[in-house]
Amino acid sequence: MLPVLTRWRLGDTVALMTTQAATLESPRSARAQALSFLAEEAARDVGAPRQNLPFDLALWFKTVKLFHEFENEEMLGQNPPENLQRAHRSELAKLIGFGEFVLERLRENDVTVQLGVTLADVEATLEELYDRQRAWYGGMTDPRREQILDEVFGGAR
Amino acid sequence: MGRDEHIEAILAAWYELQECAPADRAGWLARRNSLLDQAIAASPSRSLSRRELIEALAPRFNAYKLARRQEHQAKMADKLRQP
Repeated sequence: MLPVLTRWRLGDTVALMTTQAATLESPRSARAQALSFLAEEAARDVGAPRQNLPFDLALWFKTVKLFHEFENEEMLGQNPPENLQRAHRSELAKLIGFGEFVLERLRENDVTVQLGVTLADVEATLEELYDRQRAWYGGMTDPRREQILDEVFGGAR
Repeated sequence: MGRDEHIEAILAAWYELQECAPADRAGWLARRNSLLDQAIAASPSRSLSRRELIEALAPRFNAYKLARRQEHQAKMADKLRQP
């Protein structure tokens, strides 16, 4: 996995998110503008030696936050169109991939203190993204869902 | 803790986990996972995984998030209306 991940660039993700946000939203929202700003920041990092681990970590946290806002605004309380679901699923997978890449490097060189967090906070953020992936795209059927909730919580639902 | 309260506590901890600052994530993850583990341990489905339960609760969680957002927006609107 590592050779694939090392070729991955966060700028690719941010640029894609920006393009998708600009395509899907009209007029241009504050979120799309923020993603554009991040894309420009990340573009400076593309092709450069990847030694700025605190920057990568901060950028990852920021992109997770923007992704969360994007999800809340576009996916909740409605039946999102297929292209939006594909974009959401794809970006979530990329965020997880980059998170794994950053975490692997943090385990060798823990610089989390520079951002006022711990390695456990990074691991927790990544675990939550995996949970999110399962929650949105796990493929559980409604009958199975009902069965589990009945077994665990009984009639309390 | 009653069963409805237990579900509510899980959803609230999950919500905080998503909304909190990065420095608080480990704490909220531990809290939410502990509540999930307690629910599984107290049920006949002890072989159930945490993520299976998360997936089963996902539609409820999305409804919970939506309600919290609407509540927040209503409060903000009230504040704006105040002279």
